[in-house]
Amino acid sequence: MTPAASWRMLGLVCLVTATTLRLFAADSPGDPAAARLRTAVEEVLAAAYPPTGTEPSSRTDLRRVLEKHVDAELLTKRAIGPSWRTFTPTQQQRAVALFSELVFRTYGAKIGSGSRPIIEYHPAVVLATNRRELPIAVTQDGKPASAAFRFERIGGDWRIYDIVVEGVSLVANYRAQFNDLVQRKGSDGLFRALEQKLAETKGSAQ
Amino acid sequence: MNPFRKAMLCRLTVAALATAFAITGASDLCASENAATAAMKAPAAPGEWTDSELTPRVSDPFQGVNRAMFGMNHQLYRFTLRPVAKGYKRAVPQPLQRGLANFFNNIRFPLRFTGALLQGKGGRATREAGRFVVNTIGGGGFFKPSDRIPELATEPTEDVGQALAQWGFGAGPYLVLPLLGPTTLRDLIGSAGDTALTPTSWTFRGYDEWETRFAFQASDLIRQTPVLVDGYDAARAGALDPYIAVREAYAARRATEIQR
Repeated sequence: MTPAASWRMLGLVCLVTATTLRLFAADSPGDPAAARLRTAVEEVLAAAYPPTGTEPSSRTDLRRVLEKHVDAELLTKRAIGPSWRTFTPTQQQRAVALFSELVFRTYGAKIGSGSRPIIEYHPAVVLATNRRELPIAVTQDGKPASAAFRFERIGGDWRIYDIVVEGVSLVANYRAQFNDLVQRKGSDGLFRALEQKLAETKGSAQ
Repeated sequence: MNPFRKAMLCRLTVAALATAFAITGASDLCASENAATAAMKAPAAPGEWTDSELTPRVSDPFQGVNRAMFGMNHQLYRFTLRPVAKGYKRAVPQPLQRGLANFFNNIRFPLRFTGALLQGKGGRATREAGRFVVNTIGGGGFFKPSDRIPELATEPTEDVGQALAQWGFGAGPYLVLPLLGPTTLRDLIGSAGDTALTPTSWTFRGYDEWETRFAFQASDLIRQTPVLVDGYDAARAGALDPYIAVREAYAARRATEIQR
């Protein structure tokens, strides 16, 4: 292949790659989801790190914003996995109440700590027709990290169902733990473990 | 990687290589990761799970032994690593901590450069070389003037384990090593290559006295302890089963490093 032909081939490959990436990116002007996803993340971060000179948010305010955007039922359902289908409606409600409380106590206490992070938004990625992932680059105290918020469209609205930090998904991590617990100790064992953990963490996010 | 780990990994390499192929074939090794990647964009009903989400990230056939080792390591970390990390953070000023981290990361250039080349990432290898030259000449390794050059912005690091994954070797069984913590068979083998490519493990003129080598390697280990402890605590936070939480976090993080 001549040098000129090589350059043409390289240009063609770049064009095809760019077009393909564009097809999978939701961050195009035509995708109404993109703006909605970013607004949700900005609201959560604004509550966690209020602008300089304003009053810091209370835990209650932060929790209200999180509850507005994070779908507790979806978060729990996806963390529990297919065992969810075997739960009675009462068990499902109990699981949502216990798990969402544990997540808020564990991670809510961390949100807002440290200096105000610098956030760089990347184009949203289509995971499936009804799912999107909004990756962000975070720099806090001079340390860079990557994170992503995962959304699912529920009843016409986009709700957060997972947070991924440095490749580690909160929901997937809990799903592996829950699967093992349900297999070894059944659903009662899972509820006991959740209650025990909540008792250990009592007061940590008050 | 800490010096203790390096020394032990060298001794374990031959045994690990033999075990790798005795326990699992190469095709078997990569099955789970390929399935996860292929199913990433598979459609799923609202609120339902894709196949990839239900595929175990890593096989754990030695879970009994691993759990015992995990419990022992937890006590070791509690009584050794944690006090060292606390003392280091308290005694060493932040700017010096950053300088030492930059210095030891800078001298790991041969590992990142070779890791990138082994994966055919010529552009990344070139930028690694650029960062090394700029940071060595412009900051003695203690400063990172490369951060002010957009073309040389920090990129994900490369290692031999990632290259093995790119060549088609799967993770193999999950292992928890005494003191050294979580790894997989592939990463254990890769670590032997990492050791060979890390200058603090080399012997050369002016760096052949054991006292000098020990001082360098111990400093590198000590300055890493706060990061190690923070990572360990983050993986355990809110966990109902800390063993599985740490295992899944390790596997997920490695999978991401390989993809980048």
